[in-house]
Amino acid sequence: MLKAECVMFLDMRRPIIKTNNNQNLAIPLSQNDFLNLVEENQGIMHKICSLYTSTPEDHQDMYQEIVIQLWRSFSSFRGESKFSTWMYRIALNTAISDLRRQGRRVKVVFPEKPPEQLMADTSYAEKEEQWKQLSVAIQQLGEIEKAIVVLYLEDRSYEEMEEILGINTNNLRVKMNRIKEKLRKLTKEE
Amino acid sequence: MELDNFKDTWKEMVPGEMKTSKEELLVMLQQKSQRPIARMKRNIYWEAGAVIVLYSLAALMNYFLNPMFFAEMSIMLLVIGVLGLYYYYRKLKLLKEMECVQCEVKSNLNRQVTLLEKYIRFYFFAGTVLAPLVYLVSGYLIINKLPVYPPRDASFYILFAVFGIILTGLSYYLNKWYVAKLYGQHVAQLRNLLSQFDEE
Repeated sequence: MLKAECVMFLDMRRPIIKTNNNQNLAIPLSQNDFLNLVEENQGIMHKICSLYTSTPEDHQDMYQEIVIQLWRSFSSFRGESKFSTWMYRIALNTAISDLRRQGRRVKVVFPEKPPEQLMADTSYAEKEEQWKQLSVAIQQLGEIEKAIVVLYLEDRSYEEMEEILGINTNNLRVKMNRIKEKLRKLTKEE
Repeated sequence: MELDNFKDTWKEMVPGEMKTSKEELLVMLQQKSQRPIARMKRNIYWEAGAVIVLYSLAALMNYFLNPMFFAEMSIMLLVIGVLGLYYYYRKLKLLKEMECVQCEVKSNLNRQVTLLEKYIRFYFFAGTVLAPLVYLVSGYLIINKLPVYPPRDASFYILFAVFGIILTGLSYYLNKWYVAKLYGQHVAQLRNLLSQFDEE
């Protein structure tokens, strides 16, 4: 879940972003405010990079590119959409249209650290194995399907997914069902 | 295996070794974008700069060294230079409009495909026209400025026209091949991404 949401406006040019520390930041924001926001939300950006790249170098390059694009667009963020919607759009647009790295996707890297909750769980090994299988299956999906999966796992509503991807809600529901079915089949095969 | 069962796992996951500090982020902000469109824009600035310097110098040198005979040539160089600048301006405008990272993913891809195809058409047209244009200008200069050799009879003009036609044809096919080699795969990949939105 994103940690900063645009919740109210002073006027159209100066929206306010509320951080997870309940701190209100009025736009235009400083570079430091931007860095705080990126630092708070870097988890999701790294997860997107993990899904769309295959090597640590590509991952780092893509992450850097997303940060650059966010920074360049930051001054024109007017708060017409939620901050999270805006951020997902930029991150996914950057990742999906990075065609150079798509051709290089040869191996699966999903460098996440196991969650503490799972570590304590006695069935951790089994869950870890399942997660690995699912990760491999997700890597086999198309670029747009991966984006839908990311947003779904991030608990984004279909309405917000529509705002980010430009696919209407009904179509998204159909696609989501197909993706789930596809993942079920892919994980069975492995 | 159900995707829904992994929502909590996904949210709690921390990309290991991938935490980026504020200092590292600051360094990133100083970097230039490496996206193809950004690099193409940077190349255009360099090329346009080179055209301005080289054409201006060539025109000036030509004018001062041979003011009587080659003033026309200087003007032609300047005209070609101005046309070149318009060419770069148009390319840059298309590249600037090509990407909207803040837009919906689908509309951004649509925009990229449409404008990239427009860019390719313009690039192809300009590239194809350039060879016959330079040929005509050179021909004009040879005919009007050089001593009367070879003789300017009917066969000379026919030969001149035939070479012009061959050159234009060659330029057309060479450009077609080059444009496809440069951008063909990129457009196909973008189209493939767009088709994923409409897959049933």
